[in-house]
Amino acid sequence: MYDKFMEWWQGYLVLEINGKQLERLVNLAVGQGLTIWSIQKKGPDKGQLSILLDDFYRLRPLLRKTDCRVRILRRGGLPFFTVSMKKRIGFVAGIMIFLIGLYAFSGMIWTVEVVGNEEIEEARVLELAEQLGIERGSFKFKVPPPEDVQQYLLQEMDRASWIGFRIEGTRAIIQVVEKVVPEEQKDLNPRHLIAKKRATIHEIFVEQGRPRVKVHDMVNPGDILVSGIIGNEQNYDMIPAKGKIMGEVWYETEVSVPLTMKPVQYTGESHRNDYLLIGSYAVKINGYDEISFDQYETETERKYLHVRDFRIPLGWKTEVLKETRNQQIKMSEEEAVRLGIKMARQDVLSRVKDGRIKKEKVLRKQLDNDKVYMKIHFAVIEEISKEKPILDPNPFEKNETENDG
Amino acid sequence: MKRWSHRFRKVIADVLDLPQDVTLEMPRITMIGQIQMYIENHRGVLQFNEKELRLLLTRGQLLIRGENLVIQAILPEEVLVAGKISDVQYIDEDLD
Repeated sequence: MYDKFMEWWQGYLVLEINGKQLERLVNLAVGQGLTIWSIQKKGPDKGQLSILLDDFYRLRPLLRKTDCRVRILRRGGLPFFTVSMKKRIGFVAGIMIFLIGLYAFSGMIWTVEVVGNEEIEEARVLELAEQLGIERGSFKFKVPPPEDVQQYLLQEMDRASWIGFRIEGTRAIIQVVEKVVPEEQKDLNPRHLIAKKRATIHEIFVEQGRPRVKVHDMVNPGDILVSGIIGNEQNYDMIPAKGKIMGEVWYETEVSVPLTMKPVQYTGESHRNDYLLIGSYAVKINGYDEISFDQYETETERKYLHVRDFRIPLGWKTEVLKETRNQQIKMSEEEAVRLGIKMARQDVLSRVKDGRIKKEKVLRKQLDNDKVYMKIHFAVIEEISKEKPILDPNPFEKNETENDG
Repeated sequence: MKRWSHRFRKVIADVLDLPQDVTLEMPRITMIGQIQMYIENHRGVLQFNEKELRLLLTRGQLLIRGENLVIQAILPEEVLVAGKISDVQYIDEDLD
């Protein structure tokens, strides 16, 4: 392989040798280190061989010595090829321009991507990158080393905790990792914690403020649970009350559960239609075979071609018809009650935030019209406090009277 | 004298278990079916035409017969022959 390439690179000649002493010529040539190959005998006094272009001039004296005459049959290889190419200069120039262009354009940055940013605007990052010469059309070799880019961008953007920069082909990718800023603690205004529901106090946990209720106390909405005023009448301070007050709240829920249910059930059989969407028309492409069922639900999916953000009015619609079966589930009364209680629990828990059911009791149960009606009572432990700002600049006396009343 | 050196080499080759082509300057021949033949340690081309190639060896000659023989490559000690080889024959020095 290497030899073949060298032959082509250096250029070679195919010679016709006329003379009786071909063997001697070959021996002498080989002895002098000439590179010859493809030696053939074409007739009694006629032979043929290939020789490297450079070695041809060294063959001359040997020819004289062996009394051979030579005729060039063919020239091959790069030196001759370039000569012939000079006649087709435009063609060669075209190839060169193409190659140079390909090389030059692949050495450019064509897109700059910013990855991983949420808070930091992409435009800002791109702007900073542009200052470093990273933009569309800039040459890759002009881009500073990644460490410098990282350092500069990190220095300019306070909100980034790490910047990664790499070039993939013609894309420059800037990876941004943002700092997670801790949520700022709000400066709280003085406030009370008041009850938002009618409840019995179950548990009190006060971080700041003066508790005004005890466990097992009954409270009504609006009652102060934790006061934000501390100290006595002469010497007091107003602070934001903080704490968690768990109370027992009663709920009543009514549910009705039908004894027979008809859930939709799929049989697994399906039929698929494909449509080509052209503008507002849909052309059915596939799915002309007979549908083997008559009860079904249809799922439709539309896909359109996009060029960037622009939607081309050409798309594909897939319709899947899924066979359904009518099914009746008959429940016993017991099962219905169990299901009803379960539904009621979910209903109650969806109404409270962060609560748990302490006690539940079915108050009334009635079977009527193939349905079970129930009224269920729940005792739920939940957070009952609500904040109420203290607006009065001098609230002490008023508060006391309010509390008494 | 030549006999002696030849014998000495042979003993050395036997004792050291060396390949004989290295020590005794004998040809090493590799053939690929009938189509190609590679001969190392030859001493020159004596006669060549499309039907016959006679190579000089250190001791004796090697005669290759066949059809459409072509010397595909040749170096001072190696030669690559292609064509349709039918016959490889050693010719002893003494007979010559």
